[in-house]
Amino acid sequence: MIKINKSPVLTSQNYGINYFEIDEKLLNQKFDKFETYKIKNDQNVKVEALNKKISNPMSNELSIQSQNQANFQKQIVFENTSKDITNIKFDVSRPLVDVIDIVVKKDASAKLILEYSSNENMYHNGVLNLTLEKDAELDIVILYNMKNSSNNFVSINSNIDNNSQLNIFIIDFGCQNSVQRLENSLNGDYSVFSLNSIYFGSNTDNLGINYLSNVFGKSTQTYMNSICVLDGHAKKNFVGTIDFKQGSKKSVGDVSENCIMLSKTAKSLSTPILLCGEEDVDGKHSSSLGKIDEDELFYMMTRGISKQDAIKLLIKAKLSKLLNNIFDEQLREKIKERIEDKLNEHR
Amino acid sequence: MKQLLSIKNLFVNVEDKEILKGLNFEVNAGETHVIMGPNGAGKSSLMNAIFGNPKYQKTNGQIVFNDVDITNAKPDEIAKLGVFMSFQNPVSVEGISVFNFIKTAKSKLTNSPINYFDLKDEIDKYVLQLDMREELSKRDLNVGFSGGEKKKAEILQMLCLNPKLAILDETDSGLDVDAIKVVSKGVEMFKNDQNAVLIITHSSRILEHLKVDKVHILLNGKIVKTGDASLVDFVEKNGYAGFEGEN
Amino acid sequence: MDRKNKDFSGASKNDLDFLQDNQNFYDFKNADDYEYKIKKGLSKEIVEEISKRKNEPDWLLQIRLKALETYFKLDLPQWGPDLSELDMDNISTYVKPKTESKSSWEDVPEDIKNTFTKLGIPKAEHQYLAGVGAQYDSEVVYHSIKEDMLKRGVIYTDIDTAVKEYPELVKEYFSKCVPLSEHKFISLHYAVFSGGSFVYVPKGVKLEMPLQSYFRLNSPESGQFEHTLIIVDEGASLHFIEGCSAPKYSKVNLHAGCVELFVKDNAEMKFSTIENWSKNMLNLNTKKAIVGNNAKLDWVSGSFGSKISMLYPMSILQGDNSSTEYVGISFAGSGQNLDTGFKVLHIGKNTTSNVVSKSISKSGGVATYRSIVNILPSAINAKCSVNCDGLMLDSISKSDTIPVNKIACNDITFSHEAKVGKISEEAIYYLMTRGLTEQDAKAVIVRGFASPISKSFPLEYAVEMNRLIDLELEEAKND
Repeated sequence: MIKINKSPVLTSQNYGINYFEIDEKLLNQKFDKFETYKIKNDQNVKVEALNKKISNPMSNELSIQSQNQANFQKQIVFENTSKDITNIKFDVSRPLVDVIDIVVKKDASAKLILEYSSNENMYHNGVLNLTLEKDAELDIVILYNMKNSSNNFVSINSNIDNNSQLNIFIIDFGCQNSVQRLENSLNGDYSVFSLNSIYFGSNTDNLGINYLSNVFGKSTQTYMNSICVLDGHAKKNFVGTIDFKQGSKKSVGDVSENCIMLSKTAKSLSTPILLCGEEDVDGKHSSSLGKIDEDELFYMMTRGISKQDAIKLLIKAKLSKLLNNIFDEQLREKIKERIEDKLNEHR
Repeated sequence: MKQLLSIKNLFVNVEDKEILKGLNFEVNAGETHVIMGPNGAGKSSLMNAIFGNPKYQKTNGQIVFNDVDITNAKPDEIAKLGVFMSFQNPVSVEGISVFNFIKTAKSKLTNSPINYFDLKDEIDKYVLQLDMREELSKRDLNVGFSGGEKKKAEILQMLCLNPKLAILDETDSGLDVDAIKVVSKGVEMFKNDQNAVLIITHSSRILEHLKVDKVHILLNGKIVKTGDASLVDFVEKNGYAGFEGEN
Repeated sequence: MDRKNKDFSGASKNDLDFLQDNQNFYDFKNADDYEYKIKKGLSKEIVEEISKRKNEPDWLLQIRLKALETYFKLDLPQWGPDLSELDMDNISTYVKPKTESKSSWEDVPEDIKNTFTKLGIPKAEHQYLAGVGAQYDSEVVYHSIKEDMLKRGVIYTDIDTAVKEYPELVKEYFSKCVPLSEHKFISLHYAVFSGGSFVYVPKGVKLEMPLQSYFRLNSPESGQFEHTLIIVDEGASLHFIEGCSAPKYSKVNLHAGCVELFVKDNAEMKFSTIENWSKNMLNLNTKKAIVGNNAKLDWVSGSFGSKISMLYPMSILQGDNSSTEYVGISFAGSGQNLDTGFKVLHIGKNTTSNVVSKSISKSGGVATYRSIVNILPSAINAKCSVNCDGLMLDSISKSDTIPVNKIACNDITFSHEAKVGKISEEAIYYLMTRGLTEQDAKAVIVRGFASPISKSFPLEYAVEMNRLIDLELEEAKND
């Protein structure tokens, strides 16, 4: 077993929270040329081959793979404001190691969708680098729809300069090992980082979610809002950290995770971490898990909705509030349909 | 006339305390009934017991709706049979709009998909008649609604879902003039000779604008007196003290 | 109130930063005058020597030796504050004061008696305590319990006496709550433990007045390893208070105590601590309780002193309908790293836990709230609510919150909320419009911030706690 996705600060060893463990053999894959993808972009967006090596902070082992065995490497540069949505769809029909470096130039703004889906049980090791220069804005939606016995390791690194805003939406429908790492740095003053995330775990899925926002700039904002839906024997380990560094005056930050457990056998581990080295900040975090409110259920049932439907409806209501942050209506509807399917397969 | 609701010898406990103590009454199609009683008489318990709220345990008695025994039925089953209940303080649910909620509920009740445009026309019509703000149906269910808006949203649901029996909880709104107008207007729009209305209140104010067929006085967990609308005037003058000792 | 006003007017306060901790109230030394001080370091010989001097039964010696073996095997924790400055070769683990345990203050040697008089112990005993224990370095020097408590069958004595007089009771419970291999410093504790209190409250006996044990470490380059074992039998109730302090020395001292609590079915217990170790102390303490059916255990914890603290009291909610509460405050000033929090294990049905934690960081101090909530599949209908607040008084300090929540049951209600930030400017402004200076306003707000905790203490201790807060906030540095 190897340890990946180390938590930003270590705490008691006994609960398996500091690392995510995987079998090293999982990494032994053959990576052929990867061609089953589609890119849609307009002229303002340059999509080019990537000429540098980018490390993968998830673990040494995965980093070596990203640097030496990547079978999809691109650099995408948004020079100006692009009205159209740039879209990359990966049909993960063979093992994929992708490295994508995205730069949003000064004053540019962009919308981007990355979709990963597989019909077979597949291996994916992805690195996504996001750089926002000054006064830039990027809206990005990342969708993981992998077949249930897949292994999905994703590492996202973002750097945000003055006055720039990054909005990320991540939806993960879960798989055998689904591990996400996101490390953001708010380097610039008045920069904004907003992360919304939904992840599902069913069967024997094992989810490792590790989000970190390092706050250096003044008057910045960090929002990290996650909803988790667990069923079957799924296990989930969430670590969400905001680290206010000394000097990050007038910054605000809020991390929250809400976990819905549909089965008695699911297991939730949640560690929302708040690190604070600056007096003049406003930091908050929360984590909750609980039964669906009995009064809400009764109200729904008096309107003729069965208990199971009412539970589904209430979950969808919770999710839809978050989903409204997705800029593309078509994608939003597609995701809602997939969620509907997912909830129906649960029950 | 067709009998819709029949309650026989109903005993109900809340947290092991006996609240309803052998309650009887009947409601027929085409009628408007009022149950009156002072605070603590068991009015809210009665409504919740009819609707199978799990917090209210029935220890004895029977409730029959439209020939179906609903004594131990679940709330959604009761709703599907055609019973509606309005809440004084309905829960608020973020992420689902009033419109979508009605659409979902209606499809469950009718067991068929709902045409978006038909429902939109229907809701628009009611919104106009109830003098509601149009955007209300687009807002999340009861989230941030004022008391009056909640009342209107509940009446709107009643009209759209078109039950056979509507039970209206007006225990708190006895003194709110606007709420009274909304309720009486709603009942007027709703009422026909196939359905029935049961209003639960402690004040007679709400009844000024409504044609009432029967009035029941609920005291200490029992119906102590049943009569016509003139009973309301009696309560107005004498309060409930006059019924002490009756059985 | 008068005293506080006086303090306010007595100092010039341009900036809170100059307000450094001053322990003058607690920081007075007696000569390092002992009957016996064991040589520094840790070895089998030293452990055997401690046991021999105490004339202990063999089973206890065997526990010590096994613990020592475990100690050498275990690593330092890979997380939390840096403990590298701790060198056991420089610590003397056993210092016997020049007296036996007495039951009258008159019989306690003058300098030791004066120490506890200054700390207000005999006065408190007289006014509102049902019994008092006082430990000086490694041994208890005074133990006394009111007559009527004895008549009701309450046992309150030092642990050495309990081993001799109630061997069966001690053997049944000793080390059964906190196993000796749980972590490195609990192994160390079991190897060299000395002193501490033993309490047994019989079935149905409810103590109206608290018992208090006070721990004073006077000897430099030494450690205190007291073991507190309390059994509150079925339907009984007890409030136990412990206080700790020490004068400041330039080299580190070590405190690795252990508290084991058994709260039986239908029993209630409150365990309150005001800790004000000197700022050369490494406080690596372990406290744990097993709570029975319908039983209740409350922890109240005020951490003010020590250089480094690692302290996470734990409740094991074993019985159905059992409940626990943790209210804690820590105030980390210059040079302090206070890593504190709470652990709870929900096993029984309908179990409830509530946490209110407050921390204040100032002048470079580091305050960390670290916790573990563990809800097992058996804990149907469990409820857990956690609320943490961190207050930063400047930007050279640090305030961290690291809670782990492990939940394996879906029929539960759990919520955790935490906040960190500075004193609200509006609040300061509001108070200043009513005539307070900025510094006064800040002090008022900090005391208000801490008030949910100070209210949990008996009045006399709330006063002591406020004094500690004032000390931390108000007094000029003279280090």
